[in-house]
Amino acid sequence: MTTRHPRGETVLRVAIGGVGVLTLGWGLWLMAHQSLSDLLSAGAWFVGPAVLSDLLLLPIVAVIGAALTRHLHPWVRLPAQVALAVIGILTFIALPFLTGLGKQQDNPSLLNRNYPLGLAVYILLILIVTGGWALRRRRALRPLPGPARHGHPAPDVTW
Amino acid sequence: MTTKGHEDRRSFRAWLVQRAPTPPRPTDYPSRLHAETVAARAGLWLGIAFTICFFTGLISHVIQHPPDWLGWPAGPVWLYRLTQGVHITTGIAAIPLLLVKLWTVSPRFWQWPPITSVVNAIERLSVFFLVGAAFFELLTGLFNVAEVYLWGFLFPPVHYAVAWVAVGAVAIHVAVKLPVIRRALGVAVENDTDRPMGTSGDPVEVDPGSSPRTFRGPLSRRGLLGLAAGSASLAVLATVGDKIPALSPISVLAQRTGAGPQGLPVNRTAEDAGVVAVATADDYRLTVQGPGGSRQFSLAELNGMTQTTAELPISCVEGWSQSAIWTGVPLRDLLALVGAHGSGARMISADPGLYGQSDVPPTITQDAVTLVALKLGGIPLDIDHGYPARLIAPNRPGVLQTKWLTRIEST
Repeated sequence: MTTRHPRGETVLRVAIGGVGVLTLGWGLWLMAHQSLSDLLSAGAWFVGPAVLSDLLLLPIVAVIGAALTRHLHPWVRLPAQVALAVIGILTFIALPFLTGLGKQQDNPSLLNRNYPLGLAVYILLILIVTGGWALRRRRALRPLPGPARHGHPAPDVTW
Repeated sequence: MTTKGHEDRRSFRAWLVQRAPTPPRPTDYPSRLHAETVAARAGLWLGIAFTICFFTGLISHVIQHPPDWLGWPAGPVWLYRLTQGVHITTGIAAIPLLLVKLWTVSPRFWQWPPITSVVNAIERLSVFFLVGAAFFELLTGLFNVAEVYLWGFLFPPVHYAVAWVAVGAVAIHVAVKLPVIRRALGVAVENDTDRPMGTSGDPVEVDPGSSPRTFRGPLSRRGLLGLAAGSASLAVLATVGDKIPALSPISVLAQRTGAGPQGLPVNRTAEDAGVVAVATADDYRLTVQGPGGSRQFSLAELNGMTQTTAELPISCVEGWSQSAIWTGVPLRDLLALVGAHGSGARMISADPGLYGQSDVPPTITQDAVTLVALKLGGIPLDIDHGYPARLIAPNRPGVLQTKWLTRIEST
């Protein structure tokens, strides 16, 4: 791989990388001006999610995905995977709103939506849409009756 | 007997060692989705989102901490509303993109041995900074919009500092990966570029230590990218309604509905700021100080001056924004009364808190619609909107639209 790098590309890479090192260094220098307790708190939010995403989030996603979709029929498996992924991502974004921790008693204009209900409606809509998609796939995957179609394989259904 | 028991124990230990869970290896991830053609595309979208997010965030930072050379313009009046709305929206959209991108490259986390060379060590260190800073920025930003503060630090300076770490790490990552990125973007997404496609059904030789990519699940690579783009779009739709009022009904995860006193949301209430007594006192006076001396105005005197009415948005740093009709005295008229012509101004609130003061640059003080506002929608300000008088200026973060004004100094 290293044999095919044109010289111009190497210059470009060094330039981009150099800018990156300076920029990252500037960020660290700005961080160095925070107090020790702030640094520790920020450090936990820096290291924690990065490590937990690999050690906790991804394994959980894999286990849930396998448990819920592995033994499903092909026509429903893809819609089920898509539905789970979209619902999971949306719930992830909804979490801080669902906690209600940000609400302020004296400010009814802040966080004034019914977040659990809103999320539930979105989940329901996602299930309806992916459910309809699954039924369409089921029809498409079933071999058509009649002599004209005899011997023809079922059409390959993808995106 | 003794020998047999000894052997049993040894074989049991061997059995245990055999069954002991071992960390996965990249070769344990067979899905064809763990491909560089997918990673490069998801990475490109994520890189674009991060770049937009960084520069719009930088704009917000320099308006609030202006360097001497910056003359932030008063117009167009909606500019900050747009840049900050884009900042929050691209940040939200980046969350699904980051999750899909990390899922795609996740087998690489388990590389063995963990470090193979000096270059590999630098690359992995830069990826650690990249993933750490990316999660930090997106999560603290999201939690800040939800006003959930599960940390001890002050959000703005730390979110700002880590933004530089994030874009720096992105640049280093692009520099390291540039040949792979160009290779991967140059072919169709379903191709495998780092090894030839197997011909005549022969087993494809797999690079040692990388995902074999032999398993074809129901989801295609194009489908995975569609899933990333689709969930990013849905996340935007679900949250953007506090910036675009027309979308409010469907934005079920927006920070606000847009409702509030006088039809406008409130970020900091009078009670929270502890200003109720001062703001409602009968002897309220607004002091204006300039080179020509100091003058005091009662609310009646302010109402008796020439009034200007303008439609201007409140654009919060947390992303929500809403337009309203404001009426009040142009700031430049008040400054002129104390001999300050063309100067900047410091607006001082009864609020003793962190955001109880703001500086207005000359570019903004001299604008005809920079108002010491007394009315909202034609009626006196609600106390939560800054009664008796507040600053309302074009193209400016809401946090700098100082409420409950008690004093204005020319600068």
